Amino acid sequence: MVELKNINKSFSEKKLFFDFNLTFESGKITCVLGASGSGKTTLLNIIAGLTEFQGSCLKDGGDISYIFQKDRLIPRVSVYKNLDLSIKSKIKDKTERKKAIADILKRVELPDTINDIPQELSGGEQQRISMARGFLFPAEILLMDEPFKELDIALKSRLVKLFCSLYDAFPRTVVFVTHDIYEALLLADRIIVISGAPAKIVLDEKIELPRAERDAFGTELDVIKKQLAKALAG
Amino acid sequence: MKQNLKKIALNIFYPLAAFALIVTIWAIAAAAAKKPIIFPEPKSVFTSFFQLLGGGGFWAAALNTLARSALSFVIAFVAALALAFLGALFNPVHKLFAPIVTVLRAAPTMAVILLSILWLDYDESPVLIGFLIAFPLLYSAAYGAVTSVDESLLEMANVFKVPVKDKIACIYFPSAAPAIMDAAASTLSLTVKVVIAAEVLAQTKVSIGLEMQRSNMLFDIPALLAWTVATIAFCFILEFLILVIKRLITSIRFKVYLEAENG
Repeated sequence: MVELKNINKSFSEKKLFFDFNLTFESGKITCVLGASGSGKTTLLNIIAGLTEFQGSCLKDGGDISYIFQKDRLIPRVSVYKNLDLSIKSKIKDKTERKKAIADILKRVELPDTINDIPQELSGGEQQRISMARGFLFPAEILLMDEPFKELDIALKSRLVKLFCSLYDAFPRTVVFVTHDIYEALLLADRIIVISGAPAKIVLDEKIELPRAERDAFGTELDVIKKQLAKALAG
Repeated sequence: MKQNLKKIALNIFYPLAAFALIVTIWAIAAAAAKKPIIFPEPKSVFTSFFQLLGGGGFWAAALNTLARSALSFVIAFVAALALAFLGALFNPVHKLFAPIVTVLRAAPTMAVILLSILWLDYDESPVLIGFLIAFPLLYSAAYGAVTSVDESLLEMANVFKVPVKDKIACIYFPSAAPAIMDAAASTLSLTVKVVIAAEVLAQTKVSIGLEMQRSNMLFDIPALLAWTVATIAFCFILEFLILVIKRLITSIRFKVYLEAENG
């Protein structure tokens, strides 16, 4: 669980959050939608402790993992080393780390890239490694900042399926930020839309339909689609 | 393979062509000046140069000067790197050293040399001078390089609690090394020149500086120019060595998986 209480945050003259409260349920995928500049990434950075803020942020377990918008893989360092560095502080035994890395690379279908450096991988492969890192790091909470942005539809669809399979294997509390309605409809257990400055929650809806049965373009989700479109249009 | 050979050939051709151009212009200017005593032609200078090479005192003087230059440079390099890194991590350290670096950079070199001759031994003052000239340049370059490291990678490293030594080895070092090595190459040449200047004034025994002063006093201009050519050649070689080291460092890949497989 992640509980944000009385969050206050400003950038220059702009008040992003003022006495903002929000709780993210344990073990669920919560998607936060909003226009650019609404504070979605700042919200993630507040949870991650990457930015200063006033208020409180309580997290189960304390540790967080993060899948960034850009892969943020260390250049000229092998895929193995990139992944190894991310879990070194958590898994002290080298053999155990090696095994975990081999396993996650198999899951993301990139076992042969283990000795490659990021520059030798395609954009999609880099993002898959970034996703692997996000799930490899043992943390109760996973933050995702528009991880499918700038990907073409085919690749996006592949990565969304990959995310679902990784989530099933390594379930955790996920806070996922995007401005893509269809990603939210396919993945989220709960969708929140924030809007305005300071940010206010203008929509907070749960999706009960199991992920495996969802079709973003089908009719089952029409009601929430309309609600989302209305909320995002302001 | 063909492309590589072409690249190597061009890397040799252009410096040789530049050298030939300089010598040609020099020969034309010397012939036009018609003052062979004070403006000798290239032929007499290179004759003098090869005579120097064969002489007993050349290598002793050259190696002593290079050793002093290397000592002052290495001390400056290590100090600059350590303090720049500390300054990048702890801002008060940088705020403390930044004005000191500015003063050192702005201080007139000649004044510093003359003062150091008063304070130190003839053998020691060139080393101090070399350090005082090299340190501010290396500190500024190192600080700039370390603080230019990609913030997003550092953020990622903080999220995943990457150990400090790994942050230094895998993020800071590969990012900062190229710029630091470029600064090191140019600073090393400058250090050699400044050490020689200090040796001239301090009359340091067994040194290029003293040999240059001797040649000047004896009005042996070809010999003076020959020592100059030798110094330029040494600086070229030292810069080349640093750039080779830079190339090696920046092409290292961390193959931990293979190491794990083997041991």
